[in-house]
Amino acid sequence: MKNGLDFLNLLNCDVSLKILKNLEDPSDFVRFSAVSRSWRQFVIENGLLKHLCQRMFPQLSRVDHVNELCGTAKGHAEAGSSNFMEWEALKREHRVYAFFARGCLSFALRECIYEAIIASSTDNDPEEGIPNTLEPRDRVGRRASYWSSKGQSNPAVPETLTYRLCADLCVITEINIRPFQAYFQIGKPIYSANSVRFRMGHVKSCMDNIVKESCQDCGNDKSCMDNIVKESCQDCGNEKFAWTYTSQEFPMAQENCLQNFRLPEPVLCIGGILQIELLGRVQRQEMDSLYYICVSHVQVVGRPLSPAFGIQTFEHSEKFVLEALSYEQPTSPAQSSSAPSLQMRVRDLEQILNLLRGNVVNVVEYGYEWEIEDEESDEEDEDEEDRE
Amino acid sequence: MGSTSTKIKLRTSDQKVFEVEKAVAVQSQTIKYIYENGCPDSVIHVHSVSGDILSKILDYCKKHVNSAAGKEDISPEELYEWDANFVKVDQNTLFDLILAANCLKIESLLDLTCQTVANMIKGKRPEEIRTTFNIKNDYTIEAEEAVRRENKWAFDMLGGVGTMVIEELADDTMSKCVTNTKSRVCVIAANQIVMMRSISKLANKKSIDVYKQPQNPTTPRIKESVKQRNVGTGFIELFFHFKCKM
Repeated sequence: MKNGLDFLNLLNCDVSLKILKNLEDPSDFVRFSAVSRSWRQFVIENGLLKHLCQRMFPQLSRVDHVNELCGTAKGHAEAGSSNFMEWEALKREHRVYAFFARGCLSFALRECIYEAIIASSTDNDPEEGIPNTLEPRDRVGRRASYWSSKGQSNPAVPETLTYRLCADLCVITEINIRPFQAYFQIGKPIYSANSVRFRMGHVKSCMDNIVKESCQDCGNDKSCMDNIVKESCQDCGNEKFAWTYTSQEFPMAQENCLQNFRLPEPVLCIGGILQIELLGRVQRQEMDSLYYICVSHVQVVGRPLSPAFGIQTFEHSEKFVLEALSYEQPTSPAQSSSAPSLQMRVRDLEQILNLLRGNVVNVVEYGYEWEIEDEESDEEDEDEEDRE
Repeated sequence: MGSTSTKIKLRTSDQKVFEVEKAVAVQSQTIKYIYENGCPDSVIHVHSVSGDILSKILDYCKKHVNSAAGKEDISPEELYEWDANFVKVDQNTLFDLILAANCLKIESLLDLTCQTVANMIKGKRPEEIRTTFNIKNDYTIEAEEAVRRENKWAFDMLGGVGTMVIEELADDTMSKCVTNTKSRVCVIAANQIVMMRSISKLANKKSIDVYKQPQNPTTPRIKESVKQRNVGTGFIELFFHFKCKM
């Protein structure tokens, strides 16, 4: 007699599930279902891939259902008997969660910030504005590039920096922050924070309604929404965002280097909004004896899940729909980095224009040298892209 | 009174009687419940477990109780090794252990045995899984193709441990290396192609695919080697990215 047992038949469901819960790779589940029809049925019936994803990312418990807008079985289930519909729904979940798990483990790791939304306070806007944190250098030409909070006499007053990520769904693995060392001040103080904490979430759906009402004409919802968000949350913006994940506190060193804050487990950011909370101030500015926090650079590293996946939110509910838009692996970074680099060019341009208008930061002396030809060609390129 | 040396009698399905220390027997939640709620003097029936299996299970329980109580000087790594050897049994015995651990409610043993079965599935191709568990493939060719197409990324193995042969090897060295390697893929350096046939024969027994350099479209694309370790002279184990059909 050949050695070997079809254990799905032999063991009861609970024990079989216990065995399969040890599988961590979605490919293993998929290959398991290719063994025989009854094995495939078991995997689909018991939603094993869905449970795998939920184990990896508890944030997925908010998923109401999945939509498949690609592949051979597009769209929603057709009318039919409820058993048939249920089975189709289970199969759809199987396909979507399989590729989702795959994406969360193996899409390329890259910088995830798309743009800066708002800081809780800024000392001199825009010279010390939050967009500077997207520039890795702490000086550009002879101009310092950093964000500074307003000064406070109480060092316990926290600050927040809020960013929009490049995809509605991103698996975040780590965040890197470089505090700013004021190289132009005596003693070269480093304005770090005592510790940091991270939040992830989405723009509250009530904001969507405000946006939709006020921009009936322009089709560009996203940038309008950002403007409205920026205008209506001058102080801290927290009322406009719903946070679905808050990390532990990580201590921050008072060192002028890119400090790595690795999340204990990768976290799924649903909604594309990430906020850095800077807790506790450590450095006083000699000039005014107030405590400041300044950040030179922020990097968020993770795996963006678009364009393969998207989400749909509901108006008055925390639930959302997970949508599979494509079963192709996203292509290399070269393609999708065009948006951020355009942002950078626009930002540099704004700062150059600011200088022209004579907005100069008190403590920094500058004489800025730039090449006029380059600036003009930047403007030209920007106009062309706008016209597209 | 010497409660530490209380003994419990267990009778198996094939009428064998085992006398064990209470501390060992109550590793099983089922036995613990019966002992605490029934009459402690009489024999406890373990209906669904045979003598052989119960004997093995009691070995396991004794080892773990002794190690936890410090009666045996054994480090966590040694206990881990002992567990690994414990489950090196034929499949019938393994599933008997699973059924018994489930019925007797011995959580750690159930976890251990289930993990063992899972390890027999991880990273395997469907054909290999079928062979391991003697499963009949009831898919039609079209249906199986459809399943493979549905999630085709799962059938391209991307990434893993590969072995590279870089020197001419004697037969016994070669066979030792092939036996010990963890690789799924073996690549033979361009100047050692003469070894291709002999390595292929050995490698096929372990379901290792053999390819030759230089790369052509069918050779795994070796993208980067991240870690490297010498398995034996002339063999290097590399972690590299490759694509091969699962």
